Amino acid sequence: MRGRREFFAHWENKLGLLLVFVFLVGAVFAPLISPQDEKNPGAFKQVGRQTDLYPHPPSRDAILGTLPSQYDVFHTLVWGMRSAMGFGLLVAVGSFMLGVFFGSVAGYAGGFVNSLMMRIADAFLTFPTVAGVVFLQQLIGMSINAMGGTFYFNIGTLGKILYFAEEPTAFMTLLTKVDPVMIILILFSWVPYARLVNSIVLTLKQTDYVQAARALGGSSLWVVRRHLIPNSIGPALVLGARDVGSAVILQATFTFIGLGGSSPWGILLSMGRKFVLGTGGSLLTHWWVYLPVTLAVILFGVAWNLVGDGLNDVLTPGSHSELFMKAGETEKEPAQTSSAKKPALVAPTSPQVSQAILRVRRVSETDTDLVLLEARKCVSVDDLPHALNAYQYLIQHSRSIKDVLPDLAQLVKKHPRDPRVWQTLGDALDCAGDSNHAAKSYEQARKLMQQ
Amino acid sequence: MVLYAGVMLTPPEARAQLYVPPGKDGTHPATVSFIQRIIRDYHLDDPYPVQYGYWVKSLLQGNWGYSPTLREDVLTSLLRRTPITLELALYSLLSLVPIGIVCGLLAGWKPRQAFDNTFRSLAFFGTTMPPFIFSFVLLSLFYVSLGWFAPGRLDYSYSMVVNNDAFRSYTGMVTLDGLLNGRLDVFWNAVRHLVMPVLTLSMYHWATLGRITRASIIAERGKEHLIAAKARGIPDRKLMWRHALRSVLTPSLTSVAISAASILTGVFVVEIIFGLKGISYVLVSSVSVAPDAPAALGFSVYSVILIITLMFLLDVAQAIADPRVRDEVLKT
Repeated sequence: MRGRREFFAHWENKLGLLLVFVFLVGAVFAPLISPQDEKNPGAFKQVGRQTDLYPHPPSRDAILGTLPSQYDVFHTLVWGMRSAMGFGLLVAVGSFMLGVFFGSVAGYAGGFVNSLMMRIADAFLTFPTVAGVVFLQQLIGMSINAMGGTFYFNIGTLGKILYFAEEPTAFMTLLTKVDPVMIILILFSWVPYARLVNSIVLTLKQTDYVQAARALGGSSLWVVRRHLIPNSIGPALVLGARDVGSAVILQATFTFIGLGGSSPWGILLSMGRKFVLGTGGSLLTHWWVYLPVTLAVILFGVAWNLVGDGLNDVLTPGSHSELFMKAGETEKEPAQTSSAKKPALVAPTSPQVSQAILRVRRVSETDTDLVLLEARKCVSVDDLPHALNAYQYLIQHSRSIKDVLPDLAQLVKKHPRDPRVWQTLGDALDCAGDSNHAAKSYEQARKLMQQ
Repeated sequence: MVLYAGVMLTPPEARAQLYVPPGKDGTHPATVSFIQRIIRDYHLDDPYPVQYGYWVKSLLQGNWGYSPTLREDVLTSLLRRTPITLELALYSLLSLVPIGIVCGLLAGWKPRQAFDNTFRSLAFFGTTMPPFIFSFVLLSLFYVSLGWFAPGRLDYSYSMVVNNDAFRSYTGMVTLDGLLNGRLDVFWNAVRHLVMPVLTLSMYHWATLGRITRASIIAERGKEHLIAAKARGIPDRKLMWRHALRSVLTPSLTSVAISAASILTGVFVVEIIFGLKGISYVLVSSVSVAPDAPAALGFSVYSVILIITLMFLLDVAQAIADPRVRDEVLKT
């Protein structure tokens, strides 16, 4: 609840989600948006004569114009979304699972095994992806050759050309279907996940509840699966979201420079490049050749990056308690104060609680929300409606809840018979995730209203 | 430190072991007896560790195999093209590391102010703009439309000059050679050809590096040693350049070292786009017609060596910057 509020509080996150949604819709409904050619299905559709080598500007047949040989730009744009979405998600999910598993197992094992496994992971960082992609292609090609086929590279517009001396076996057909770029990207992008999860697991292992699970006789795999992976998955998800975009960009790059890969966007861009970069080409005369695709690639990357940043705000612990971190407090401090605050409602006069409130005050003084200051000013001049308004604003935007709570607790003490104050306190508690006490204060508000 | 570098050295070659058997068998689709001879000669029916030993031995002896597509020995070809790659990587690193660190420092020192806001939007642009699209735009603007810069390595007339016997090649890097030969026109021509690739390369990594520096300087600002230094009355400017810069240099350089592979990948991509026939040319030619395993294998091994060298150099730079690491190295 609070996470969702926090996510939607920033326009960047909303924009990212919207863009991802648009790409998703394009991917899912590609056959409806741009129907395929019956005779020649695929991400490319010809809307004119094959021999017409001049790209034509947008017309009724092709909304975004055509490329040499009259390939429809719009069709490829839409079907490219489907391909990009599938590719990006597969790469991200693959490397995510590989990395999370490797990192958590290494972290759980600990000691020598951990450092050995992490060094092996680091070794993967020293390998350039370009070489990996080409190498895997060579391996596939050679395997096919060794089995009686003939393999030629013709990467760019047509893909691989294959000749078989005899009927290809199932294994050989499978080999031709393998996408080297996807495999290599998964193989070389899981390391950051492993490092991240590993460091979290190493700290989590020392916590009481994991120790308890082990003491109770939980098997290793069970502890990893039940406790360690779920608790370390948040930050890895952030990485995964960003990876979807970067994987697709890399795929397009490889396709564009002719090193394999089957990104329709990359192929489209390389097909039209000579009309922009060739003699007499310019960015303005043949804009439809490159602009739609370029925008699609960039926006795809931007969208997933923004979503990743948004997830980071929500999922990574500590990033939303920035207020407290700035004041030089440790992360544990706010947790303590909030747990100490709960009894504040029951016994607002206990010295412990007032100390807790004081501590929160001290923290907030260094860097206080302007709205909060305004609210406090209103309280000090006894302008209750405006103060409550300001507090409501803060609650709705999940801002400075840690400061709002003690303030409201004091306010309730001051005006114990005002239902609006109780109502606001209930909202604040609900926002902080304490639904138990929230219900109590709502109840109180309702009672007072009836009177 | 030393141990770390040592461990980094071994696994890539251990992985390369997998490549050997198909590499040797597949490239000579000849008669059965010939294949038998190769298997005997290269000890391919031995256990894998032994095979690997032989393979490393032949690598160390400089026998990297013959590439049928390049019609040349792989190692010769790689070595001949190294200066081109090195030149590009050198200029890019020299431009991106200082700019990235300084920008991150200035932005992080006063966060949420004019410079920081400009920096963050530029960095966002830099990290989200795919390099190949950026280079595409650069080429069409500055080469096709304006004609200021050009792809390739040198203009045709200048490459004649360079290949002439009168022009002595000291380093193989045209910019340096041009200066050493006193030919400013050659130097200038080479620079004109290097501007776009270097710009493309720096754009992405500059932004990432700047972001990391900014994040660490923000975390560093509240540290006690800086507050103490400020309390002693050290001026803000000196505080930033002397005290804060030192402490963020280590994480920043570490991030560059970790992304060395991606920087080199970027170098290859940029080389291919701008038609600089550096070592990535070996790679391109190996996928152009038929499978060419020695070229791809040689390229992989060579680029891993390059990356490890790069990481090592950055580690050294880091050791110079960080007294703690420096002491540790001196102890061992």
